[in-house]
Amino acid sequence: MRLGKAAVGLSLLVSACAGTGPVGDVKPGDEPELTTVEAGLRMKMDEAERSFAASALIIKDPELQDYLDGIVCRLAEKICPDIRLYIVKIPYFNASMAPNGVMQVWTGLLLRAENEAQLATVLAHELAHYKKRHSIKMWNSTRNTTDFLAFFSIATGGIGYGFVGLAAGLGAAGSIQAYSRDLENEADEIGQDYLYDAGYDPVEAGQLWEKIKGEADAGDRESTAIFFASHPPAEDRIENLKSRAEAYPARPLQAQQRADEKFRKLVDARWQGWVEDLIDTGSYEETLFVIDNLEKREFSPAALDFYRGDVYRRRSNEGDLDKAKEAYLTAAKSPEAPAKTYKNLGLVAKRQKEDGKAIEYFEIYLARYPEASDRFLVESYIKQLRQS
Amino acid sequence: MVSACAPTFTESKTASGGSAGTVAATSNGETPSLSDIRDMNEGSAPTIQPAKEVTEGEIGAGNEIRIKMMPGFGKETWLCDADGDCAPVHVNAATNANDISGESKPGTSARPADNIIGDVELSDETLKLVGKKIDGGLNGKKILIMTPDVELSLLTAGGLTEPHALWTSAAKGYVTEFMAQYFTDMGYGVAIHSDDAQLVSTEIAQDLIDLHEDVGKSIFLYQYNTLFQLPTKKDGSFNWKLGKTAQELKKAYGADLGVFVYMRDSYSSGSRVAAQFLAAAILGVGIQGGQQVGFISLVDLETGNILWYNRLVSGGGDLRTFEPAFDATENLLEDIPL
Amino acid sequence: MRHFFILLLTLTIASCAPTFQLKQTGHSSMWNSYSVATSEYINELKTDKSVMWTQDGPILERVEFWAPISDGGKLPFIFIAGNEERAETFRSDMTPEEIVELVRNGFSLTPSTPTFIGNLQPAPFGNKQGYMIDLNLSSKDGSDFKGNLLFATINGKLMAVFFAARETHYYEARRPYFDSVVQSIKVSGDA
Repeated sequence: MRLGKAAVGLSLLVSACAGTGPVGDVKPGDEPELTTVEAGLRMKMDEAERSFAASALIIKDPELQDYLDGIVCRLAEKICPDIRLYIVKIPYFNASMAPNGVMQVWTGLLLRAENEAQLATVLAHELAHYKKRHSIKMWNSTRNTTDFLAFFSIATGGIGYGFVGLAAGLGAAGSIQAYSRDLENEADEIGQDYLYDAGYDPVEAGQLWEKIKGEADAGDRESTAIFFASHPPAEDRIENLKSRAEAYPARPLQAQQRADEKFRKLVDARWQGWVEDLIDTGSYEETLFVIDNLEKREFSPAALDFYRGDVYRRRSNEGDLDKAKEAYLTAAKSPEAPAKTYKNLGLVAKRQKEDGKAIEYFEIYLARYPEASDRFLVESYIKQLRQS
Repeated sequence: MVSACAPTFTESKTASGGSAGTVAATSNGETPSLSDIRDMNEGSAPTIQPAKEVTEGEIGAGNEIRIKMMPGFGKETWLCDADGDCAPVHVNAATNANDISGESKPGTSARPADNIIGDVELSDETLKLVGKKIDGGLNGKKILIMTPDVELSLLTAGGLTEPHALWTSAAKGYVTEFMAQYFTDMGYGVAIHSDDAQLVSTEIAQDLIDLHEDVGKSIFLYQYNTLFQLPTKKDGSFNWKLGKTAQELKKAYGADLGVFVYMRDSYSSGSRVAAQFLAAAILGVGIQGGQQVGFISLVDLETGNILWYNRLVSGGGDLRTFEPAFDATENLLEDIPL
Repeated sequence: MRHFFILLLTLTIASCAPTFQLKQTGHSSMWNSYSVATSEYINELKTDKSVMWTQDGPILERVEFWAPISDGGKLPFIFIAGNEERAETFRSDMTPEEIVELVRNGFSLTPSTPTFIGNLQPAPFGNKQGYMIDLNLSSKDGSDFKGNLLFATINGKLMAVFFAARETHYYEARRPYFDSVVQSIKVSGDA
C-alpha cells in the first residue's frame, strides 16, 4: 500500500529516517508536526510535566526562580519563553532538558557552582542540547536498541519514566553526560559560545568541569559510579574548553563581578539545607570534597566544621568519631557555631562511652537553647546517662 | 466492520449496595449500548458531498487530513493546508494490492478510503460542552467527562514504544466525542473537563487523574480472579474510591457523575499485533509488544466512590481511526449502569 | 513502591514467590517478637524482610511490620543498584534522633523520595517506650504518599511498623486502621 503523508502514522515504519528528522535548530514557539517523533516526545513530556510540577520535590522559591530564569534568558533570549525551569531538591550535581522545554536544575548544582558563570555554563550546555535537538537525534539513533529506554530516562531527567528521586540512580544522575561523545562536545562548544555572548568569562566552563572531575575522583570508584553514570568528565573535554576559552576576544568583566555578588548572596542563604540533604544520602567522600571547596570560597568556617563533624559522625568508620569530635570542637569555638554543635558533641561522647562529657555537652546545648524543640529528647538522654 | 483479528475481553464490576441505582435510573433497567444509541441517532446531521476529491497518500506537501466529528455519530473529512485553512474533501483509497477483483489497477479507485488516520476535532455541539458548567439535564443525570488519559505509541522493531502525538490526539478526540454524544443522546447533561478553563486547579484535576490511574491499576490487578487477586476481594465485593476531592469536580462542573478513562496502546507498523496479556505491562515503563491496556470508571462525584468499572484486555481495538475507535469505545462502555 | 512491585511480579511469575494470604480478624504473632491484631479481614504478604498488611493493595496503601534489625543491620529497603553501600547501619545504642537519621538516609536511596521526615514524638510500642515520625514520600509519576513510622529499640533490636498511603484520600481513610494496629501491639514478655 503506497502511503504518503496523509495516512501519516502508518508510514512511520521502523526506519529512523521516516519523516521523523527534525530540521535545523529549534526556533521560538516551534511546534513540531503531530506525526513526528519529536511531537510524541513532547506530548509525553507535557503529560509527565503536569504531575511533576505538583511534586513536593520542586522547590518554590520566587527569588531563586527569577534569578535562574534571568540567566536562561540572558543565554538564549529568543527561545527562553519556551523554557520552563524547575528547581529540584536533589543534592547531586545535575541539570537536564527535555524536548518540550522543561529544564531541571538540581540543588546540588547550585551548591557546587563557584560563581554565576559556572552555573551559566551548565544551563548553556543544556540549552545547546535542546536547541540542537540532541535528544531527538539520540532517540532516533538508539530507538532500536535496549539502551533506548535508559537513554530516554536520562534525557528527560527521568520525568514520567521511573525517576528515582534523591537516590539518583544511573538514569538521572548521569544526565549531563548522557549523550554521545560528539553530541556532548557539540553542546560544550555551543554552550561556551552562549556563555561568551551573554557576557560571561568563557574560562569558567573549563574550571567548573575540572572541579567536578575532582569530586568524582575523590569518591571511591564504586560509589561515584552512580553519580557520573560511569563516565566522569573526560580530560579531553576539559582541555578542549580551556583552549577554546583563550580564542575568544578578551574584554573587561565588571558586569560579571556584580552578578557574582548576587549569586553569592542567594547561595549564602540556602546552602546549609543543600549540604544536609547531601549528607542524608550517605555520600560522605563527595560531601567532604564539597565542604573543602566551600571553605576555599570562604563560607562560614564554623558551619563547615559542624557539617564535617556530621559527616564523620554518620560515616562511623574507624577513627571517625574522634574526627567528628575534633570538628565539632573547632566549630564550637566560634560564636557562629550552628545550634546543634554541642548537642552532636554530646551524641559522639555518648557513643564513645564518655558519659560525663556527654552530659556536660548536652547541658551546654540546653542552656543555650532553652526553647529547643528537641528539649525533651535531650533531657531523656541526660537522664538515661545518669542512670547507667 | 472488520476489527482486528484478536478478540477483546471486557469484564465490568459494579459497586454493590445499589449505589449505582440511586444516581442513575433508566426506565427499563436495560442500558442501551453505544451502537443502539448510534442507530437511533445516526444520520441526524446533514451530509454534504464535498466537491473536492483526493487520493489517500497523495494529498500534497504541507497538507494534512483532519476528521471533523459531526452529530449523529457522523464525520466530515477535511483537507487542511499549511496555513490551517480547511475544506471538506472526499478521500479515495489508493491503489490496493488486495483489490477484490484480483487485478492491481494503477491510479485512483472510486472506493472511499477506509480508516483514515488524522487529527480529530470535536463536533461543534460537543465543543460547546468543553470547560463549561453543566447547563440542563435532570438532577442525578449530569455527567462530567474527564480528559481521557490516553497514550498511543508506535512499537519499534527493538520492541520499544515511542509515544505518538497524532494517534494519541486522535484517540482522545474519538473517545471524548463518542462518549459526549452517547450521554447526551441518553438525556444527560454533559460537561467535558478542560484544564484551560481552570474551573478547578490543574493540580486538583491532575491529582484525581493520577489517583484514578493508581486505583484503576489496583482494581485491574487485585480485584479480578487472577494470580494477584487479593483474598479480601474473593467474595466479589467491589469497594473502591477516589475520595472526597471528587467533590471539587462536582462543584466546578455541576456534575453528579464523572467518567475517567485510562488507555495505553501500541501499534506496530499500522496494524495491531496480537496481544499477549502480561500484568507487568501496566507497571513497567514500556508496554511489551503491541498491547492494549485500558480501564474506565464511573465515579459518584459526591462521595468519590467508584460506582462502576470496566477493564479492557485486548488484542483488538484500534483507537486511531473512526470505526475501530467506535468499537473500542463501545467495549469500554459495555454495561455502564446509566 | 513501584520497583518493589515489579520485583514482586517477577518473583511471582517465577512461582517461588510470596502471594497474598487472607488474615482474619484477631491476634497474631509478628517476628516472634510481639503480637498485633487486625480489626478487619486483611491481605497479608510475607517476605523475609517484612510482613505487609493491605486492604486495597500496596499501590494505594499498606502497613508493614519490619523484621527486627540487629546491630550492623540495614533497613529493609530495595536500594537502587549501587546505593546499598551508602546505606547506614543500625546500632543498638542509637538515640531516636539517630534512628530518624538512619531512616532519612535509607529512604533517600530508594525510588520513594522523602520530601519530609520529621515531627518525632514519643509513642508507645506495646508497653515499651517508642517513637513515631511523619513522612511524605514522592515519586515522579505524581504519586505522593503520606505515612508514619513507629519504632522502638527492644532488647537491642530495632522494631518498626511502617504505614504509607496515597496522600489523596487513602492516608486519611486508612490512618484509623494503622492506629488500631499500633494500639493492639503487645510485646512478648509483657504481663
